[in-house]
Amino acid sequence: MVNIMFGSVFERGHMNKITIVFLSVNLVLLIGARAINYYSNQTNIMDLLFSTAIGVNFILALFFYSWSIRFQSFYIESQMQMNSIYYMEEALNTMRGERHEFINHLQVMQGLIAEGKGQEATGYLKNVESSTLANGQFLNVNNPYLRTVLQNKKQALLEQGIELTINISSKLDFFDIKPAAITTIFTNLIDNAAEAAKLADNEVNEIRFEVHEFENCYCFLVIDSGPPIPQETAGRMFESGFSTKGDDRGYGLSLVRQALAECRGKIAFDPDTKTFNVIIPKQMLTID
Amino acid sequence: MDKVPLISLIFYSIPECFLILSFGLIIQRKKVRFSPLLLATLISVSASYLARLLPLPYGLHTLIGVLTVFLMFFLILGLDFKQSLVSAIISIGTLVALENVILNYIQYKLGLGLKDAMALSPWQRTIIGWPHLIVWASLNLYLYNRLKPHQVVER
Repeated sequence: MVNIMFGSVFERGHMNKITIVFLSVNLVLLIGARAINYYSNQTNIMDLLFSTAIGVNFILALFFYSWSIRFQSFYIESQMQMNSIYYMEEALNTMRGERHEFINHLQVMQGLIAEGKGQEATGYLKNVESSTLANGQFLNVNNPYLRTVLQNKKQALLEQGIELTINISSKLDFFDIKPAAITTIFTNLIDNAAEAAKLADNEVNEIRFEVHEFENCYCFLVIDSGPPIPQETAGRMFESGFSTKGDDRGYGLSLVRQALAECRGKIAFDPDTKTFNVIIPKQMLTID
Repeated sequence: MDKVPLISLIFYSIPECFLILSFGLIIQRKKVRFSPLLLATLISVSASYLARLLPLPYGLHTLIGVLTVFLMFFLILGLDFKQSLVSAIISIGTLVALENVILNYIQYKLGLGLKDAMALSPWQRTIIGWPHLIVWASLNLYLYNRLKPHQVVER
């Protein structure tokens, strides 16, 4: 109920604007009361009552301001708690799925061993190990939006015959940018890499997605196994509307750069290694 | 136009401005650093002194004061735009609210108008403003001890 009533007001910062206007009006009233006092010859009881009332009104406005800030903090805290419950539920669902998969694998293993097919059982186990490692890496990502994007992309690319290899060496604890920005940045980069990978005449098309953590930022690398990109194209690829693939295209990388600018991030392309390098600063939080 | 006497400038305007700026920092939970605060105080007092010399109707110089204080918070004391605006409004507002209550009460008791109070001798004009400054200084000190500055930490 509280969320419905105040959610949009707090999220859009309307409360702050209302409070600033409210305080400004009170300040003008206070100055007005002083000016009236200045132009009256002697301070009488009415002047005193009027200016006291205006002063008390301002103090009440300050209490309102203080209350609105506390309420806003409470609202943000409750949102964070709801988000963390959502993350936990999602992680639990993933783990339930894993458990279900493990039971299936165990049953297959049991069958193979019962039939005395030790070699096949060993091969099957290695296969299970590699897929479990990839799923385990998803679980390491604390950000559910990035995790979902990667999970969906991995599945979609597999259907197109492209293998998405993920190497995440961070839990991304301080990675807290808008969910829409996460989708824009990583979906566009992976889609671009997939299109590039498909152009190559490789036996196995592959995209590598790596995450590295540094002291103040995260570094995301997207590397594809596609053919080299000409220097001229590489120099213009971030321009809006520039594409080598036809009309009405070429907006993805421009949107990526725009989304990154909003979270003080940067993107660079290295034509030698065919790597998109995305740098996103860690999000810091102030506490008492 | 009001030419503020030197005694009032030193013993009233400077402490008043120091309290305005430090109050703004304290309510934003920013660390109060003496040197930039003193610099901002001196600039703000000079601007206020010059504004009072202009032939403006009473009250307008207070609005100029709000603008000056906002600029001091924004340019010298390191607050962002919104924090500077809120701090300037709340600080000046609190000062004028205290003047409205305490100074008016003293004027009422002494049977003086504001014009009469301003026409008193420099020392009297200075001392008449001290009670509300003392109350405000106490409030500043209380809030300074109660609202510890924010620290930036990693989550």
